[in-house]
Amino acid sequence: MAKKKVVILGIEDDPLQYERAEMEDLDVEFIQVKPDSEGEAMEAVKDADAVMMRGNWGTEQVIKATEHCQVLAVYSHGFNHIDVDACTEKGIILTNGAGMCAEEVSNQGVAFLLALNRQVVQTTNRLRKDGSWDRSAYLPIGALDEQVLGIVGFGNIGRQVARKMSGWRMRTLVYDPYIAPWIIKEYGVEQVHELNDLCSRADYVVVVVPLNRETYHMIGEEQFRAMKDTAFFINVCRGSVTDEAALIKALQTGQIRGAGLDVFEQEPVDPKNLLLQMENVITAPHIAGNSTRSAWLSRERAAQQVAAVLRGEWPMAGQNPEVTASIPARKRAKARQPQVVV
Amino acid sequence: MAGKIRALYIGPDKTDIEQQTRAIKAVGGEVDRFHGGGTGELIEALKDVDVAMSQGHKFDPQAFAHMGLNGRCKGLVSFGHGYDGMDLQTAVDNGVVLANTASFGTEEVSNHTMMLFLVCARKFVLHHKLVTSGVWTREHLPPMGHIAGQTFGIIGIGDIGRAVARKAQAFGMKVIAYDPYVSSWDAKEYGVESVDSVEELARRSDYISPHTYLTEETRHIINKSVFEAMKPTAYLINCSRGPVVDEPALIEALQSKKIAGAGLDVFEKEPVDPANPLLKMDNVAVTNHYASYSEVAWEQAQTQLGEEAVRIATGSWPMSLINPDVRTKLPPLKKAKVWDVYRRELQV
Repeated sequence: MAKKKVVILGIEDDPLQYERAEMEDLDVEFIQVKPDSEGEAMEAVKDADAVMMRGNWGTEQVIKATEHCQVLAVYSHGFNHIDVDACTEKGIILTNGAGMCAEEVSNQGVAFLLALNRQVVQTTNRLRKDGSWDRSAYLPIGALDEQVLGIVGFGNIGRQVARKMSGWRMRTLVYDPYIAPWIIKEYGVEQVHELNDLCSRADYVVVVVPLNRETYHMIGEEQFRAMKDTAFFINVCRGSVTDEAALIKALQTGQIRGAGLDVFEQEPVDPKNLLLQMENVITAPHIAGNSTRSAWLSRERAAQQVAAVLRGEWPMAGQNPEVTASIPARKRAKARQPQVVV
Repeated sequence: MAGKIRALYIGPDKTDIEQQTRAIKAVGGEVDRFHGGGTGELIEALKDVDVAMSQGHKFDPQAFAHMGLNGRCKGLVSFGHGYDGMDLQTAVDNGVVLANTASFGTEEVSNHTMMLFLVCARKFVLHHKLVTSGVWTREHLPPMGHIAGQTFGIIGIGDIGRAVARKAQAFGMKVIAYDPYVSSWDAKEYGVESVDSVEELARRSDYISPHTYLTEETRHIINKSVFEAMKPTAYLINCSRGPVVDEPALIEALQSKKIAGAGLDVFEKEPVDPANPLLKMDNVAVTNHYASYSEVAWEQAQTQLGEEAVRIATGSWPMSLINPDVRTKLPPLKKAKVWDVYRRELQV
């Protein structure tokens, strides 16, 4: 069989330690390209059997430029920057770095929740500014074991948030129209069938959904209106899941009490963005997924997906099952030990 | 919604099917009952319906040729969890969507497993017999495990396996699992250590419990070499399917004291032969394949039967698709949604 060509976009002069190790049993050749234009990316992927991608190269044009590509693997967890329909039409399996940063993102969500509950950022800021000892300024502070957590999206990350906060004995509501009821039961949470119902009952609303047509601006004016004026809103997934203008308005008018934001509609965030001026908003520069582990785990995970597809299997992190309508049936990939021992 | 849906219920004539048809009625659909007969009658009855539901009935795979791509009836929902009675490949070939009533008895089966595990670990069968026959002795107690700190080995970490894991962890046990289809990140979320082979699981576990479907891959997955690898103090619990365990090898392992005992809800042949030596052993606890039963579980299964039928009949994937390769034969369908949400969408 001919050598398989794995084209890696957005990475240059890298030893590809994980990619090579995971595909050691396969006859593959790696080509690294850091394109400067869409045209360059199109040229690079033309005769690829597999494409791995860092950055925003997953456009319809680039995907359609492939001639016999079987898999497109993104290193990230989110794949909102990839034209999924184009992949599916082309018969290309799209994979992500499933699970590579669920630990980190869920911790960021929990960190925001606790920080908002305890007003840690606000106390630090005021003490630093003028030693202010006005303790009433931070009230009310809710008792978490009597408060309600609302999780929007119950995938890998949402489940971890629920599991972690169960240690605090919070009452947890979940909105996710696609989640099987038995998973809800397994986690001992309550399923609500209306997003606004969750918003009106939760003291903390945490969104952890992938960004797609269905979730774009799913948290908007209507949802903020439904929330309690004592509620905190936390977004650790993608900025455009929230209608940011509506969020700013809700914060300005006291419709909600505060927010914890790792992501913004425009990134890097405009330094003049009003959200950065508000005392009741705590922020981070889209680092929820980061850790020393996720940095290499994303490489390993993506490489495992490509290796599975090139072996003729259905990869564990396949994200467009609809593609199976146009490609032959494949055996499910089995778990393998990581090939690089850290 | 697109037209009135029609479903066929295939099951015992006398059963009250209020629960099974609840979802279908809720969206204004209608239900026919199959009143028995051969494959010919079944094929005839399938012609006028969008979906079929079967309960306690062996479905002749010949009928698949008149469904899916070749008929009005898009799929079949089968009551219960195991689908070892179903010919998945023939269904795939004909584009027939198959679903089960996944997870209806997860609580019950995992509880039954824990019950049998405790009965074994505490040597209940023997001591119940001794005490009721007037013998009061502690001479048969050792060896007896501490449970907390011991290792519970699970084969198949699906819904039931995970519930067992959670409960075993509550007893303070370390849980290890063999399931080649579970990713490392999921294993981590379940808090179990993944092992690479059944043999490794056997070597390390104090209690072993399979929670797999019965397929060609899992038939006799617990066999002679597994019993050889097990500790002489270890117990086997089986609440999955009888043929997952090689029963003659189990009997031999018990007779030669290769393992300490077993707790069994299922057998290779059911009803079990009254002469089966497993029924005579003081270190073997047995029940008659009812691990999944409770009224709540049964109602759950019967309600899910109708909900899955509606999904299939209205062009959605079911929530518990059991022949995913059928995707290669069909155009993409709607992603399965939670029943309360989906019902509302259909009624709009």
